[in-house]
Amino acid sequence: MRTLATTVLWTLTILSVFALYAIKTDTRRLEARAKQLDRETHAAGQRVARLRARWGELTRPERIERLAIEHLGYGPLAPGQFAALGDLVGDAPPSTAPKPGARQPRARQQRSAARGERGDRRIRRATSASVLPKQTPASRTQTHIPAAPVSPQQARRPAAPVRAATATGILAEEKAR
Amino acid sequence: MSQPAHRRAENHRLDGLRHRRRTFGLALTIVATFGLLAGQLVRHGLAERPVVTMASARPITHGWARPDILDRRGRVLATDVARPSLFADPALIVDVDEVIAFLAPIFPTIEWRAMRDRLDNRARRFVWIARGLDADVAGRIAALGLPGLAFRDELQRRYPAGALTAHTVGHVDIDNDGKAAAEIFLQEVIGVDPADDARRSARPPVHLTLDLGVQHVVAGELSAAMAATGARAAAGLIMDARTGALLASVSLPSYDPHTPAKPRDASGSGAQSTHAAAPQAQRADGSVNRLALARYELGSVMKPLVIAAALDTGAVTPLARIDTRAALTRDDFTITDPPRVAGKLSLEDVFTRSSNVGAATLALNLGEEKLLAAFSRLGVTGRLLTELGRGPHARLPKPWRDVNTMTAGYGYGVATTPLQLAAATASLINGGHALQPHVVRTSSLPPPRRVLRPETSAELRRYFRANVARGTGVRARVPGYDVGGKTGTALRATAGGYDAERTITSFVGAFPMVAPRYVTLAVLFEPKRPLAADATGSADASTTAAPLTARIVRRAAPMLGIAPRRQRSDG
Repeated sequence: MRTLATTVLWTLTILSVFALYAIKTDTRRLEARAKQLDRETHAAGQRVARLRARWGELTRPERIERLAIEHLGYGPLAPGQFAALGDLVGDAPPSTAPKPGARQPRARQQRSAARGERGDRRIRRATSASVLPKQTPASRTQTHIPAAPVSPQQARRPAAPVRAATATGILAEEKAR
Repeated sequence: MSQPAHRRAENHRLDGLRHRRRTFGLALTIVATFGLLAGQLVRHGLAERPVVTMASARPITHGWARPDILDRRGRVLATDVARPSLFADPALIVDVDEVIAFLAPIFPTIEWRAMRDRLDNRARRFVWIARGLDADVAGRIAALGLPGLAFRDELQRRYPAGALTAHTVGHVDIDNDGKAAAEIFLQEVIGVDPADDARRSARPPVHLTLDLGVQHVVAGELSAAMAATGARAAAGLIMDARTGALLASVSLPSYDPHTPAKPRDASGSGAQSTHAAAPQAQRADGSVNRLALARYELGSVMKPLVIAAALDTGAVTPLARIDTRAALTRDDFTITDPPRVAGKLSLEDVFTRSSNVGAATLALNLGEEKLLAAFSRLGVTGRLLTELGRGPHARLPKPWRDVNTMTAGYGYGVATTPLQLAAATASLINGGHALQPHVVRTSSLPPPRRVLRPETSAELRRYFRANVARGTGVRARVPGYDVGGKTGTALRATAGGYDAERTITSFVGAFPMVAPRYVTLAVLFEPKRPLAADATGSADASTTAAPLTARIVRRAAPMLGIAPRRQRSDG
């Protein structure tokens, strides 16, 4: 009886030694991994901070404004570029309206701008009529239309949109400055 | 020698017993010891790891990890990035001359003679050579493989918007310690963490009320107006008329927050304000925040305050008429209105024609005590503390005589900061509530404190509106936006008098006047030419600051989400 108990105890002791050793090595491994992850998180955090700072520098309003004027022919939003929904419905072009959600071709905006129409006329034309319900009562709700080209001269400039197509081109240009 | 057999047997039994006891004791000790060890292991395994603080004989400089600063839409205005800094351990340097020969071309600005003395001193174990390096520069130095040189990552503050927000966000020193504006507020109120390494702060970012886009519009228009009018400096703001939150706060010229010692824009260099009593305002030009930290006699933009005080205390009624044809004299000082202004004027006329005699008469009717009490209630004679810094105490004439009551009526003698004036004007039009201008977004604004009766405020709104419709402020009109405001052209005070050649022109306004949401202020310092294309002759507020405000509102209002009211007559 005693021999059996001794044997069992010895076995348990040996097993616990092995278990302890296994847990210890495991702990060491996990600690090293945790440390490494911590280092990586830290490094990633630093990288994110650097990128955010860089992003902030690249999206400075004065830079975006300059690029938008140079490459897209945009200008600051003018009060005349706001229109009421009701007006848009009243001025809908009849059958040539594009499909819902389709974007109006740029050339058309430019043509109407070039004709020197009044600002509000330009907006009405540039807005797809079929996206609006036909029977909408003349609403006083204000709607916001994307900025139209600044001037006919800028709008007609052919090279600008092509250059704008490559973001890297803009960056390279920025660097060269 | 012979023992009885039973005795021997007895001894043998006792020996066995002792032996077993010893064995048992030994086993118990071993078990207890191992148990103790196991217990300790478990305890160490479960216990929180204690924070190890490093003690070092090396003189390590302590920096600060600061929370990011964002604008109201989450755009980064200030953030910490880790950058390598180069230091030397003179004890490990083999050849000081070689080190200097290699490093001198990379750092031409370092004073190498003094540096050599420091590097020669082998008792020193730590000498900074250059801090906050670019990664490629650090890589080039590391590639040299010079013994005794090493790098340490340090946090460095970056301001992506640069000079655009410098006067509002502030700047830090080489140890990331806040030195101006919101950065000081961060250091003293919000809290920063000491950092021995380049670990970023875990604190949540600090949101400002500023809108970077609106800030850009205001700064851009002010800067363009400075160039067009030949002004030496400019200041401007857009403030929420109900909360006092600043959406734009601009003082030009500005400076690069990364190199705060150098003024960025030299166009106004040397313009040291004689009025600026705050210590901040005495420094080089670009570092002066003319909006919040310097005080000026602002002239006629103070008249609405006097009119409001007179109405609110009942000194006059809205129907009163004031004769401004006669000259007004106090203490040997006489003022008259020009013929096109003089007449029997209603309060609205006093406002829209900007009659000095009219406003001075109102001030004299009120008397010194009530006038100063009203100024104090509106916050123009106190001292304004904001996150932009500790504003200077307003300056009042001492001793105060009758003539001072008279001149204070049209804005002379009392020097205050443009920001205080804007806050007071907000109270005039927002229903009579005093507000605390602020740039750090907060959830704990003080409860609104009423300083004027709502009827007074409604009456004043009418005057502000009429002034842009047909008074001195017509050039501030923006179709669809219902702008109201007051012009002010003040001569700059010099030692012993006023300089007629140097003026401060300002326009304090609000829009939309039906229910004012935003207060605007535009101030030009010493403009030489009018800004408005249709204006000729002198550069006063109606031809400089008023059209400037129109340009600002035209561009900023759509960004603030205010659509124009449709007017059939608009082009």
